[in-house]
Amino acid sequence: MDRPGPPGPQPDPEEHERIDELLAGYALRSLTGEDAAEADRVLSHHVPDCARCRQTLLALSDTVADLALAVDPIEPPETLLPRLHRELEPRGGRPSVGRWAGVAVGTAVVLIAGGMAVSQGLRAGDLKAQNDLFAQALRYAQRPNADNARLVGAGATEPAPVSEVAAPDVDHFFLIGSDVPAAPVGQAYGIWLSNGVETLFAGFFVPGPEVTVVKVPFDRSRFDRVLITLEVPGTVPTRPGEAVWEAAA
Amino acid sequence: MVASGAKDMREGDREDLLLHRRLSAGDRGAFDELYRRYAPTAYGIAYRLTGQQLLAQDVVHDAFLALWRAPEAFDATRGAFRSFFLSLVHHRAVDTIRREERIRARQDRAANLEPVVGEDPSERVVDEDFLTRRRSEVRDALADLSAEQRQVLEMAYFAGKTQVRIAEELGIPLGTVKTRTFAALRKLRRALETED
Repeated sequence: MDRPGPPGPQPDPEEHERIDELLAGYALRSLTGEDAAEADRVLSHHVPDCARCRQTLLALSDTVADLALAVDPIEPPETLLPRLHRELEPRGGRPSVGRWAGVAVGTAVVLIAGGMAVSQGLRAGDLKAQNDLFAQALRYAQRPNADNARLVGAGATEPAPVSEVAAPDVDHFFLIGSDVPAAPVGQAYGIWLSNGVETLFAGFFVPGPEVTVVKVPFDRSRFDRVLITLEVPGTVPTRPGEAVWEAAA
Repeated sequence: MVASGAKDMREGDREDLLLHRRLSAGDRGAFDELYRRYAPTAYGIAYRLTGQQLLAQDVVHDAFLALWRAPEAFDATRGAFRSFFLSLVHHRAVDTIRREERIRARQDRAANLEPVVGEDPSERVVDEDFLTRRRSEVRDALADLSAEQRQVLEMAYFAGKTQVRIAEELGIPLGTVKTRTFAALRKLRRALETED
């Protein structure tokens, strides 16, 4: 990290020293407040064009990752791998469209007047899965600590056609859309989770006719915000696109 | 000896890369092999940070599930799989402890490199050779840091503390924490590069 890379836009040496220190804190995930915001700015506006800083960041990240090896390894409980096996969805043939796309696609459930009906266009196997999913959401909503909140338009207060049903310390929550308009042509709705430290893409929200239920396999209480954004379908976005709806903690 | 270790390291990284490619194609056997290689390290660091078995299990579970569901998140042009995955685990562990204020008290125990009381895991885990060597190199490099440098690194990495909190707890300026942190990582890097 002390060997400069190829030339690029070069701030003065003092500025680079400050950036080095910022990147070290970033690699350790130990920045907060203004430093974290400044790191975001540097990572967005300077690092991509600065070979020296890209090299520094990679070196710092590698070094930080190796720190894990300083701790004695511990064999995890024997139940962990079987638990994971149960949750590994087959991936053969699945289009590589994102982390939870396989969860989101095909989860549309059609409701009529509080009861459940089915879309005539869906296969029977799909319908069973969708009905099961909706039943899960209903049971989940009955938890004593479950909370139901409607998302709002990003940057405004108008209610969104999507609500969330979440409970703390549960490894998943639900997004439920009602008459969600199709995304603009050439775009798809993406689901993002953010906690001020991490922003991660959780998959696509694919609206079906009338009511759509999507199970998001993350503990909602770990995140401050849920965003629904516009993304390019068929890709894995690295940064949130234009926000359409959002929910805060 | 060093040359042999470096060769093993590169070979280990190449094997990881091939396993990752197979996993990306949906090969559960590759998933299991990567689990066998990295779950003990992942669980060790997760337990070190969280201090709770259930939280540590969740961290490791989430990390491996994320790997299965989004293998494309690893970009081989940006470093070794090992670095990517152990960073993922550490980030999740840090996020967990910051959201679990109730385990804060347990972090004092986590802020050192001694094994957790009651655990003697090293005898029960058989590492890949290249990981065993790397562990030794990393520990030696850490031991060569000054006490001040090692302290800020341990508080940041092994206890998941923010730089602001480290400055508060040590009673030193935030700028000093930043300078010491970068200097510590730079020295570690130089030592580990030499080993490479």
